[in-house]
Amino acid sequence: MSRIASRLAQSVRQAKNDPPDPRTGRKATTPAGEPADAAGSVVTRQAPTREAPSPAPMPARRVWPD
Amino acid sequence: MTATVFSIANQKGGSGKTTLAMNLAAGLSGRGRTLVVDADPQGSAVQWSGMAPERRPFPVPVIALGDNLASEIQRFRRDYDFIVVDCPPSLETERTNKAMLASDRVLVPVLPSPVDLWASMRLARAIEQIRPIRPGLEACLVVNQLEPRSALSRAMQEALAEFEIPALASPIRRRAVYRNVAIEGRSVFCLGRQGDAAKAEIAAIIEEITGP
Ligand SMILES: Nc1ncnc2c1ncn2[C@@H]1O[C@H](COP(=O)(O)OP(=O)(O)OP(=O)(O)O)[C@@H](O)[C@H]1O
Ligand SMILES: [Mg+2]
Repeated sequence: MSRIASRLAQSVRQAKNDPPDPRTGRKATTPAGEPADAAGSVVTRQAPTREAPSPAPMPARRVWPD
Repeated sequence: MTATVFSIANQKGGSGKTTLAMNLAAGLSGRGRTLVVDADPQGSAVQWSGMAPERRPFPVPVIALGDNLASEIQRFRRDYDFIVVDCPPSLETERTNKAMLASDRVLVPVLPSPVDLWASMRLARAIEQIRPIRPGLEACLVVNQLEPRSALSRAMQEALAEFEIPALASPIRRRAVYRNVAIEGRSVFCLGRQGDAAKAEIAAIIEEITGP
């Protein structure tokens, strides 16, 4: 089996064994298998975030001629 | 006469339900009286057939049914050999469930993509849940938009084996003709040689689902 085939099959198996709650859509475990917190939200490891640069002001543009 | 009813269902949007429903129905019309039931409030099947010019109507009548679809399908069973139900992309409304309960067989088109496969698992589960109240209900996956040269398409076999419901041996490939026929209110069966490959794959599906 190719690597992509086994990963795809494994992901489907995971979707089957750990279905989201039909009402809330929440999963009981994270993709990595860690339990979700008490509120049911999945706590995932996050990459450290960098401060996003503030967006440059958009020049006002008239789309339609008057 | 009592019709065989096929529901084309997947709560995942854009998996090819309407495309399969319309081409399947056109193919089935060569074998017996066929009706398409548009159970989707989007009305895509009705719109598709409405694109046909008056002088060359879509070969199968298409009717839109709402929440009373179960009893209506029951009524139509007497007048047709085949009824094809195009379901909405939702499990939240009762319609998909009602359509499946009124069916002999559910066909679930799935795209060869991880996100589509994960989402389709929900429908497979819903089918398992209604089996006790609808014994004998058959269900199968139909791979749609297969691209034989893509690695993901080739990886489908193993992934499909994880589903509780089997997959048909005949897939539908990704082909421009499936998009083009909709705009003219036709099916691939109305095309000349350019439709041959598509015709052959829909015919193969019909063979599989009507066979013994
Ligand atoms: N085998 C195919 N080859 C090429 N295009 C396809 C094929 N099957 C479907 N399509 C295109 O993919 C899109 C989605 O297909 P379709 O509308 O049949 O899906 P659907 O499941 O009915 O969508 P919805 O969930 O919105 O009802 C359409 O643009 C359709 O023309
Ligand atoms: Mg549709």
